[in-house]
Amino acid sequence: MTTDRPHLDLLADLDAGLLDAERARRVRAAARADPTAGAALDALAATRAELAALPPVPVPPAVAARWAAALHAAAGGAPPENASVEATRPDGGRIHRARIPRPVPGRPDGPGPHGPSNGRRTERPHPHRRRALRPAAAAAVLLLAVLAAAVLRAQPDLAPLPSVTGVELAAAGRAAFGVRDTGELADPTRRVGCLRVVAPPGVAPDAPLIGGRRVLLDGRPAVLLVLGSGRRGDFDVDIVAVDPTCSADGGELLLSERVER
Amino acid sequence: MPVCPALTDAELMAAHRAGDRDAFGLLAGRYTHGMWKVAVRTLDHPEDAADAVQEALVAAFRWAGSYRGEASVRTWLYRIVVNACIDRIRLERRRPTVTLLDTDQPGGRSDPATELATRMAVDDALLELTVEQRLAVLLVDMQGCPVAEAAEILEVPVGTVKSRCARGRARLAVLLGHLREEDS
Repeated sequence: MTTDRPHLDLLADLDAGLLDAERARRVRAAARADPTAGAALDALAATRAELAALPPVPVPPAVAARWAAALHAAAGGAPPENASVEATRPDGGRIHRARIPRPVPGRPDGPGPHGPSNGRRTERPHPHRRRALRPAAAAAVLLLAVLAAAVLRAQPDLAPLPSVTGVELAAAGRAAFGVRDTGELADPTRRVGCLRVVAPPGVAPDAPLIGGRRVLLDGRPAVLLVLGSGRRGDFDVDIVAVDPTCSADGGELLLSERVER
Repeated sequence: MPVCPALTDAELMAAHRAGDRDAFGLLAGRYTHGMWKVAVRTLDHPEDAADAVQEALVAAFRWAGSYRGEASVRTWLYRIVVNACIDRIRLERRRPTVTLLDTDQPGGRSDPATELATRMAVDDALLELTVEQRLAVLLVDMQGCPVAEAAEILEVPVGTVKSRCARGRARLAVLLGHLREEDS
């Protein structure tokens, strides 16, 4: 029976969903009775929220170009340690040879974390592979262009609004973890005012923002907000879709769904 | 006939394996940002991260034939880039010399100074975790992967991912100032 103050490790296990239901119930009860333990659970929740809210690090265009050049070389059969690719490393450091993991026999879907780490390096493509890749050489320039375009399209500021349907709300919300693209609702005061007005069921207006993204929801502009529960020991998140102009002065709740983490 | 960008990952992968000229670029473009995010925060060195993603993309391009569809394409690609990061750490064991301050930042979102200060603090704190804890926290808390997918990517049991997240978050809670050392 857990009657003493729960240790931080135990609270972290609770926070991570590591405890079985009965143990979790006892630890949660003990935490409710102890302000220090409660504060620790709040701290863990705040930590998760801070991690999720970290802004993305955009891919520098020069790096995207380097990847495209490496794929160009691979598609053409040239080794990826092609000098022109190496020369693009701006800090003058030694670029590693592109170590291509071999698929591990019996292991599903090729390389695992330890597959390419066994001190073996795949130095060059097999001669037959080189021949096999030749037909792809004609596509190399096109591949480069397609990848570069795709990378740039994926830059949050340059991408068109992703289209999602109502049934995809949970998946779209999960994909928005850590994304900070909520338009005017990035302003916490405006967001709280909006949530107070539209009142999604079970969602506190000041629920912590875990992520968010502007989307076209069933063809209509919307903002997806991924919100923590704000309740101690409750790790579910709410995915709320509101109209982009939502504020304390008015707004529309388009959809709301609670998902388990 | 050019492939349609609306094709699923599996359809693009199949098209690539069938020799379609556009498919891999479209497929890779969907995940390069996620791969970059994992690599840059695991290695905390932009050039090493760029190399790791490059290795992963080239490996995926060349070894697409080994993809059997038992994991999602995203899981497969993340697994390869995680491999590359772990490889790099094991081989070099070097500490960062270039910070994320060197990368371009998009404007017009929120206060850049505040975001930068927060990010530096978190990035510094992440480096205090073990590589295993850092990867688990990155995938689950920052990348939004379900725990089960993170377990697939890292090729460990779900409970191990949860445990690594728990230990990592507890450490970060102190390092980020959410919890005082004496409370822990």
